[in-house]
Amino acid sequence: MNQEGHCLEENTARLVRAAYGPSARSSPQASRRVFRLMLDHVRARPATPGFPDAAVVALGAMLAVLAVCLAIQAILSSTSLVVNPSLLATATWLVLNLAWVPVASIVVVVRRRHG
Amino acid sequence: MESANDLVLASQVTEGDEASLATFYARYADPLFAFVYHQLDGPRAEAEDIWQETLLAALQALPTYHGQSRLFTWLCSIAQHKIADHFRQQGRRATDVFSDVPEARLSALVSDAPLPEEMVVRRATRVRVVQALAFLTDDYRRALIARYADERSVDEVARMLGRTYKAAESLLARARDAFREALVSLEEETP
Repeated sequence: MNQEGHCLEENTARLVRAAYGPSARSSPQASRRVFRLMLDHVRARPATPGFPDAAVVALGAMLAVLAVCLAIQAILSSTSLVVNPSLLATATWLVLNLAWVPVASIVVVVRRRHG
Repeated sequence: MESANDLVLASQVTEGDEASLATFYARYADPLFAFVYHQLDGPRAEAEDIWQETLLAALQALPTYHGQSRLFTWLCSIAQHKIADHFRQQGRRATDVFSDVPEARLSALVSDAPLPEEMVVRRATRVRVVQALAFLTDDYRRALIARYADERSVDEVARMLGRTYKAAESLLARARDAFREALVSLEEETP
């Protein structure tokens, strides 16, 4: 090992020794006790029912289909939405939100699987 | 990528998987104790109490971890709150270990020039070293701690890790590089 490499190793050794000396570590008794406490805690906690990925996608798809049906119905309806600006604004807001639902459900599934 | 692994581990612990809890504990409990101990700079008994409270609080809060930071960074922030609470209860003000003296450039800590002793023993340095070690893989961390903190020979490190002497030497060299990189990444993460 050359001089630089030796110096680098020496620095690493001193830093690790200073940070991880015996006093900076938990005692085996405390370590066992805390792990036991955590284990008890995990065992006592009721299992959280999972929400399967398929259900997330199905819900998203269902809402998207409903939004499309609603839009078709609105188009076919004889009453014009334009006559009521507040209704038009609400409908636009609703449709824009619903349009993101399938995208959101896919994002949720991708993030769950790949972090 | 590390956050993704952390996220998987966190969700497995949340789901009650005991083997994952053991992995979580083996990976983070000791580094967290060292972090609390150096941050607190007080009696070991107090450090142990805060460490225990932190781990139990973390276990409760684990469902809220979404991989927004590394799991160890997240654990450290819980520990910092617990330490602040502890100081508040005692009517003392928590001191920020990084505020009293300007923090040295972390990458300079493992440079090719000998480090002044004052910098090695500085509390801020010790805290950062603990954090950097916690970011390493289990093998790298165990190797560095065994070799340098426990002052074991390369032969003993090799036996501990179930490797040949040559493989342990090479692992230690890679672990030192990874340690330096972890310090640099920590420097980039901290404002």
